[in-house]
Amino acid sequence: MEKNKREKGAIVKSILFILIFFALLQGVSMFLVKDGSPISIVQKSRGIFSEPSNTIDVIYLGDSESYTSISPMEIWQTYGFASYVAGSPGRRTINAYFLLREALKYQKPKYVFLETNMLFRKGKAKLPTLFYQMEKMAALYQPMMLRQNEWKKLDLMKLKPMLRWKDFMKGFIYNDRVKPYKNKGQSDEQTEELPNEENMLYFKKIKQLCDEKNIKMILYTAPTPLNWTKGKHNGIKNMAEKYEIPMIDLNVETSLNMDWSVDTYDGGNHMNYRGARKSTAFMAEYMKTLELEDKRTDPRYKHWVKDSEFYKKEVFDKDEKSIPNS
Amino acid sequence: MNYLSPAFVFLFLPITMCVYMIFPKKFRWVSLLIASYIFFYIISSYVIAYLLFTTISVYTISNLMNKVDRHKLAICITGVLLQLGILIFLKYTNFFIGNMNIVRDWIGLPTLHRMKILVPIGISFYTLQAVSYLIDTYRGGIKEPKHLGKLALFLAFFPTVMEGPICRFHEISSTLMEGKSLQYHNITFGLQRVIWGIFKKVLIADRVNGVVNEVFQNYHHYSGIVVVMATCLYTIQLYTDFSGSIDVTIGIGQIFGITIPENFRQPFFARSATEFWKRWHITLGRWFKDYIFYPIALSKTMRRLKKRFNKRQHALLGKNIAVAIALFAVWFSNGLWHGPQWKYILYGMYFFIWISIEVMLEPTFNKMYARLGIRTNARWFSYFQIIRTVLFIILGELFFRATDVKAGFYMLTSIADISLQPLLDGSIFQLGMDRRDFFITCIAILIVFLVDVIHEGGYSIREGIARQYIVKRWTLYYIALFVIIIFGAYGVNYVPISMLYADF
Repeated sequence: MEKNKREKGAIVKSILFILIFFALLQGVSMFLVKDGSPISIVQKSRGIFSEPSNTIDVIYLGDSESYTSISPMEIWQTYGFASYVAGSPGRRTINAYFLLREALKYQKPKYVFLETNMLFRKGKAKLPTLFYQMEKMAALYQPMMLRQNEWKKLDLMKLKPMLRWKDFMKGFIYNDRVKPYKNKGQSDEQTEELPNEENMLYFKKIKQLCDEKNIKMILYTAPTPLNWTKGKHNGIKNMAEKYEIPMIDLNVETSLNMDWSVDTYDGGNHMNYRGARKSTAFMAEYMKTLELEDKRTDPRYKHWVKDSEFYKKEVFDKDEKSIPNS
Repeated sequence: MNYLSPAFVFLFLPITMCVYMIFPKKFRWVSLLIASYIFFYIISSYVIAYLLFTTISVYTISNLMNKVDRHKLAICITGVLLQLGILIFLKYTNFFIGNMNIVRDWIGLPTLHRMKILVPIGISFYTLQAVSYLIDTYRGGIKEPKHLGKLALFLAFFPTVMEGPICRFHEISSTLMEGKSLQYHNITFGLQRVIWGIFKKVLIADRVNGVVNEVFQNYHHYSGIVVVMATCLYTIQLYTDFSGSIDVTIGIGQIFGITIPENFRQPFFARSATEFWKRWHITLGRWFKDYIFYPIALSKTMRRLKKRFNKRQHALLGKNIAVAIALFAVWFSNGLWHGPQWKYILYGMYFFIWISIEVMLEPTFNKMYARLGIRTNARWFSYFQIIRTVLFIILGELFFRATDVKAGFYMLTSIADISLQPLLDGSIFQLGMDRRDFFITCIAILIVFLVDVIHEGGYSIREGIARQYIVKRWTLYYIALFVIIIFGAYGVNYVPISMLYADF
């Protein structure tokens, strides 16, 4: 009896300890998160949920190719369009569908740009629902674990709690490293490569979801010489024609003037900031042809103005000094 | 996967604990054996075959020793040579080939190709445990009947297989095989020890790694105070990394109610090199003492040698020759054990010379102190000895960490170029740690030092905390956890660093 009582007491104490720990974790995170601080990739993928409802007009959906190729803040600074990159590393199409379905409970975008690299991810997703839920929880409950060095930015005189974190980069991830792409002589076959069964299924679900919500879907392929093939291009082109979806392949747009000796941080897999500025500028011009409004003077977007100032200081101005002829 | 990876902490360990409790008490050791082999397979893949071979061969040979009376020594020696032979082949073949190639090149012969050999993690540790098992069986120190499964668990036990401590069968088998239930006290005390180990590794060892790597890899660019600083930081890094990992190991053992021997006892409070090695990597020093030093020093050959010198009126030489030969064997082996490089052998010889001087000249030094009126039991004298020992340790670590012997000597001579400029112009904060990093590291080192001071005084901090009221206790635990989470050097901004001694 005494032993049972002690065991129950031990279990209660353990559960209480863990609960208090997570509560403290949230509390400490609120103090250590500053406006515009870079946050973890896990949280970035869910950053769209921290934006006020019905303020995002364009969602960029995809894997790491999406958040390294488009900087929504620079599109905002140029034309005032409110876009958000909801990208996640190694994302599968099925998880992109889950995320979009959830995001559309809070946002009413006019356009969804679907980055095509994830459509060619091989194999089947393992326990996608479970991992999606784990990603959801991780974004909420592990803020501190992934915020190393946040304490260095603390200004003790200005310590104040943040009730809610936001990503001033709107999903974009800045990287200024350079690792040149080495051309290994890709074969120039004219064959067509199509997504596998699972990816096609969830592509169609995303299309269906967009149609139901009156959202126009556009397929876009970020510049990536390491991943791009003519076969994939042909496959996407045929899918776009079949489903009557506009398609942009930035790999064939010569006007971008990509220089793969300096525009990539990992040998041609992803662009660095220098490359991303080029693809962002191109997409901004494309978005100008769409039915989008300039929201820079809209009072509901005051936080975008503030985020834009921060972006300018933290990213744009710093990079202007470091990159010649940018 | 290592003991500090999320996969181990959040998946492997909790699952092992659950499975352990599901097994009936008599067979809980089996669950630990299964977990250990899964862990070993994850970290070493198919080279688990070497561990299996070691286990089966040790079992077979020790059984044979128990069955025969004659040739027992020969069987034991065969078994020991077999285990050491595997270790030497896997770890040192390319070292020998490399050195042979230098000679062959010099005399105009074609060089030999180095072999591609995959070495299982922890082989240096479990091989010494295997050898100790064989020798202890020969000496009659292992009374229990031989059991292949239990021997396998002793050699492969997952908390100790990567970095030790190097356990003796008789000192761990009772708690290892007991199958004690998981108890709240053991779990909490074990976790406290784990957290302390993580604090040392993640706040200090991993943070200073950037500076240490930068200076030791680019030593031509640095001199003077920068080299001194990097060497001191490396010494601290090695201590906090290794002792931190051992804290995690012992903590995990405690969670299961298994007593794993201590491997550190405030080593920087040692007053001599001899004492240092009784406080640093205790189980390795003990292994060398029991299986190399005493067998050589007390052997018939050495006793005959001593008699011969005594007959020729060289009593002092006679007394010291056995010790010197035994010490040489110990320190040569110690150096080589750390790795197949001449710098490690140099490191071993450095301690051989230092300890030999201490042992052989002890009477001379005592006479000198007496003549000078120095009270060797005075506190100031103890501090002097401690500081002197620490300085010699740091000097040894310079060679231990340098890329090779030549680099070590280069760095040593570069210290002569004393200039405070890097401190004054702030360039010292651009080597891998900024001012805030230095500040946090200094605070953390101070905390570790204070804890060591308290432990040196014989006081157990954990027992002291356990006596406090729950609110005070939990506040301390939460502070410890959040200090690690907030200030720890891990994650996307840091390159993950493996446990330093696992590389040996």
